[in-house]
Amino acid sequence: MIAQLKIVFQDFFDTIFGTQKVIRIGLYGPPNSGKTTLANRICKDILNSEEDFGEVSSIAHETRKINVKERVIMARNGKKVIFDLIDTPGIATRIDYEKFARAGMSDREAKQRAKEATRGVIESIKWLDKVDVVLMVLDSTKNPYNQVNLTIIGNLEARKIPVIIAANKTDLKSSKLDRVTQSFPKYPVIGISARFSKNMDEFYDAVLKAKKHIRKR
Amino acid sequence: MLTFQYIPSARIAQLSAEEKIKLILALIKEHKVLIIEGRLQPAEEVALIARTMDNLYEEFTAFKGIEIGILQNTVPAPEISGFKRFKKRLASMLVKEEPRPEGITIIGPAKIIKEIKEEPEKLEMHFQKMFLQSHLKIPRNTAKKKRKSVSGKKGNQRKR
Repeated sequence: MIAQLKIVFQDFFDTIFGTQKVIRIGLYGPPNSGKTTLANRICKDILNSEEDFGEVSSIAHETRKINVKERVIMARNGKKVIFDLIDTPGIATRIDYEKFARAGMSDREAKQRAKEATRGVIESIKWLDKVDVVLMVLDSTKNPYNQVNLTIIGNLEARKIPVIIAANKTDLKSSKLDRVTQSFPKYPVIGISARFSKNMDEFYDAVLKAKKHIRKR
Repeated sequence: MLTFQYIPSARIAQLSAEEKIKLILALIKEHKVLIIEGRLQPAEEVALIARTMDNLYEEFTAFKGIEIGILQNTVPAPEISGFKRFKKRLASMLVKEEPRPEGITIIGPAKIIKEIKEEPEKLEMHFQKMFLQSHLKIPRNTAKKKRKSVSGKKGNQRKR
């Protein structure tokens, strides 16, 4: 009851004085780690939206453009955050169009997808300058200690941008959450399954906590 | 033939980020695996990825991208007591000693290197099967066996 009243009053003052800042939360990570699945889950949980935010696929580089969901309002335990959710294409150092062709695409489609994917990676990198908090989505079944992950995290650390690591796909038998936790001891690591909505409460609490660490620009 | 090229930090220290990236990509396109003393700045690493994508967009049938691996020095330097530390600092100031860069960076063309597996104290370089067959004369049936075992492993990974 008190928590709800707090939010109502906060809303009232924010509306009157325009004090509530909209923060930008970026979903980053390698291709096929489940960034769009997590974006869809967040939209379903918070906005009760039946419509998917983005398409998901087992073929890498399904998301090749930045998708932004504006003004998502999340209120939990007397705290509130308003954010723009930014789903980014996976960052990679290599793109092989032949892989797409092997997954059943025509040669033309595969080449087109590869070209779009290169542009997507560049867009993701450009958006690193614009985000306030990063949700680094990693596939917990894969070795998290790879250079692209370390490069993105190192870059965010240099810019003092708060990072939350979402170790996704914990529903899979081969998931190794400990390996992710040990690889990034300086960051909060939350094991989740975006697909099956596992441990999302802990994840949302971590997002609310991260708001405190945003540096003024 | 596989060429490893060593780049001492002194060679690239004076270069701008743009010049470093140009040099690295030019050597990568000559199918060389680079062993760079030290590591790039975080912003340079990200710029290298972006520039790689630009190059890929232009010529993605010939150029497949890059693989990067960094081995950092995780062993802490031994602690030196007060006077010894003062003496060391003074000596390095007098002879203008530059601190040695820590770790090494390995960057190679994705056409040759399939994957660089990183661990805090170890790097494993996995080469492309095609490259091994054509350059190192590894018989085809060995590669086939290897592929079978890899695909079997993947299948297990996907089981819930």
